[in-house]
Amino acid sequence: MTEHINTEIGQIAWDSTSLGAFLTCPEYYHLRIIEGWQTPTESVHLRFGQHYATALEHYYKHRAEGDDDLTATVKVVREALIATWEYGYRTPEDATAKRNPLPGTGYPWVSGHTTKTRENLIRTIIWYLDQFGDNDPCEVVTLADGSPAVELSFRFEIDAGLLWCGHLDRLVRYGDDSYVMDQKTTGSTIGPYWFDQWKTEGQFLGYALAGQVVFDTPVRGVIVDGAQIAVGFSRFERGFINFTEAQLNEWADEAVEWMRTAQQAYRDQQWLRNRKSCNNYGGCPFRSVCATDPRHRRQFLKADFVRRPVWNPLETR
Amino acid sequence: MTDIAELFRRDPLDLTDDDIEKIVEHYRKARAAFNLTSKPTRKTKPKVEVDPNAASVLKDLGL
Repeated sequence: MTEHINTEIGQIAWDSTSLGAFLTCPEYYHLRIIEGWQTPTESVHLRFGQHYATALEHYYKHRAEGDDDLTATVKVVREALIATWEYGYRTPEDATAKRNPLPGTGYPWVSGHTTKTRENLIRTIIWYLDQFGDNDPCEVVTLADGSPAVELSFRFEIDAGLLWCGHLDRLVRYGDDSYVMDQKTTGSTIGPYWFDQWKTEGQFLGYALAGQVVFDTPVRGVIVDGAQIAVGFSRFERGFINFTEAQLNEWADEAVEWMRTAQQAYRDQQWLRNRKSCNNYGGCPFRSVCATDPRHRRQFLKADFVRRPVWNPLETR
Repeated sequence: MTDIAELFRRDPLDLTDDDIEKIVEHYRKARAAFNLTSKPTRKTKPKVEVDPNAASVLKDLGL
């Protein structure tokens, strides 16, 4: 067990990934978050989204450090090209951390997806920055210590003995208001219906609360920059999601109750299955395990899944 | 093979800033071209105006 899980109590440091996992299905949370089981192949959507968000975060960091638009764009395109090249490494530790890649080794990442490809990732980064880079009405907030509010890892005590942790891409000012800014990618056309899904999203409520608590900034809500990734183009739409103080407090109260419920499940080692979640979003990765006789599930897990280091919300980026 | 495809196939650690600027320029031009062709088309008036009164008369006559 790592520091975020107390062996007597259960998980004590939480983020939107682990809380979302428990809300999806307690058994999914048990297998994925507590025990660390994963499919051997990584999610193309996750990898594409991470490279994309990282590139934009770094762009604003480079800009805040004085780079002009083209210089910062070239830097993040280079970083994204390197991150999507499957290098060889001298040691397994370097390979895990993806550090000190060996020049002259490897090959480009092949995603196996029709639109979320390496080329389309680079195109989407450049097109986003072409649209918003120098022309963004949102300005990055400057923190009290003078640093730009980008790449912000946070943690705070949301209730006695419970930490709420996470990572904000950036805090921005739009007019007189401050917002957390977040990036999402999709294959769908982005319209009002697409933005509606985020209005009750715990991840965003948690971000807005963190912005207020940790960075001492009154945060109005979250700006979502949605990127539609298509075969021949990337298209961007921006949506504003405002939260009231009462909404944030309501979310925090409910989140704490769910965390306590998960701790109780941990102490009892009683992981209920939410069978209504089995087929959501293309199907739960553990559906095949749960579909077998309980006596054989561990064998199925060991055959089809790998155990990776457990998800730790206390890890900063 | 195009220049851009060739740049994508090269080890990025070997790419110069000029190489990457070529990639940036290529995609910026592609976006400008895309924006020129993807403007929403304006609704045009129908070539034949339908008179709703005339339509209802025809319906009454069973035509």
